Amino acid sequence: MSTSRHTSRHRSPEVVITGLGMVTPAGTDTMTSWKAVCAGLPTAAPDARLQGLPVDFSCATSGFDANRLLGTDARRMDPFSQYAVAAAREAVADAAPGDGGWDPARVGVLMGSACGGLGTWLEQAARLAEARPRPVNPLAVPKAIGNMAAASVSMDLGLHGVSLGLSTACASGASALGFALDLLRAGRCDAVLAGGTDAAVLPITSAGFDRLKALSRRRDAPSAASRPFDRERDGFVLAEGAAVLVLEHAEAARARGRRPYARLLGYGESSDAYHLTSPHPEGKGAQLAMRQALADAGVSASEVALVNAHATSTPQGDAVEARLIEHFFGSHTAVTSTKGVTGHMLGAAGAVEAAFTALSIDHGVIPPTANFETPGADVADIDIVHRTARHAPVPIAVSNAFGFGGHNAVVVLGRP
Amino acid sequence: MFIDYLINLLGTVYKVPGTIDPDRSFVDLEVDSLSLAELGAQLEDELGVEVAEEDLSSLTTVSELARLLESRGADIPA
Repeated sequence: MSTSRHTSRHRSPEVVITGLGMVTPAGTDTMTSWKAVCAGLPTAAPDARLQGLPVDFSCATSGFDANRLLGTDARRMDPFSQYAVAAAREAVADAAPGDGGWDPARVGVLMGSACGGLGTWLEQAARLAEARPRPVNPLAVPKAIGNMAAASVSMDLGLHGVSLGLSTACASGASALGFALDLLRAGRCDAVLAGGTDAAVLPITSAGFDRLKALSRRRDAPSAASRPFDRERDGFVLAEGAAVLVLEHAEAARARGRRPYARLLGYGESSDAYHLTSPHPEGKGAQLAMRQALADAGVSASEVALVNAHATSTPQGDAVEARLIEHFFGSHTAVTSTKGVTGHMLGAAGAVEAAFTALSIDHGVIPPTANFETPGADVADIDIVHRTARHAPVPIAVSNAFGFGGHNAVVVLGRP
Repeated sequence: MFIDYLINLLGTVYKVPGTIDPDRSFVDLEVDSLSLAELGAQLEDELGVEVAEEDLSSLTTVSELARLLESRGADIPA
């Protein structure tokens, strides 16, 4: 790793983001989601799937229609794969490689997911428990296994390069971007569809995260439940969806006249090696990832205009991250958490937020942190964008993602 | 009546192209083994009869399967 500034940027081929696709609780495509996030409209609402549980609300992808999108093939995919395929199709259409633009053998797919096909496992396990003679569907295993979002995207789009499912829990989507960057720098791929997906708004996850006291219990006002950095925050809101970003060499985009949203300048990836569920209290692993990411990108902290925080609205996590941000950037870098609108999309979060960060760079707009009113006493003095979107140039931005197990992934994006 | 039901199912869900001759076997119709297993499970779920592996092989024809469903007293869902 280079320690001097502006070294690695020139050492490696420049990698740019030319396509975005997403399915989020705020919309079934990128622009609808982006507009809702910029408007700061929370999506959390009661969820019939969670009826009777202590936490019975979520941020759901209610407008998503798998059958319309995929036809009868929808039955062969768990929703975590359906979301990924939907997002990948949108991202590739957006990147517009054109006829013969990409050699399919040189296009890879990296899809992060925290929970994979958990819903299918549970549905089929329930059938097994009914003790019917032949209860389990033959599609149970191929739908549920964790690689299938990546495999389904490759199959759907006819891509023959590396196809990899990866998991760093709630950092998965950002980790996928980092490793995709390595593949492109190493010349192993000409383009990579990288992202994250999860369809785990399920009774088991709601009950399980609740037992960890990780979820907001604001049943009387779900839309106010996801409130990153706010004094009254009491946990995250479960969400679902996917985002896919098309990464490719800048030269290839230039050659066909596709203006990128942003450059992917660098990334850092570290492990706390500390605790199953808690971040290191001093954020040591996250600091390491941030140092790695800035060095890899060849930028200094003072150049960073925006941090899209992981901030999920949990008491401890947000406080540790606010200290991390203050430590590196002081109080002069704008900070937002789009989870106030989307809730926590688990393994998709890092990819969705990197995509929103690319849009912030492209549009010069920083979405507000929905529901943020008063900073918690334990939240360091940082510049949290709230109430309304802020119009400001964003030449360089950072997007954070952290996951259970102590995974820290930080990506650095810049204006093309 | 099960022949029409199966032909419709094969054409729509399992994407068997063209006109389906009920006297052809599943291997002739290019229904692969995963689809065949899935078809068996779908028939069990929808018609409430058992369709064991030995009842449904790649050499089974559509009309043989239709006769089997009829003999088991299956009901076509409304």
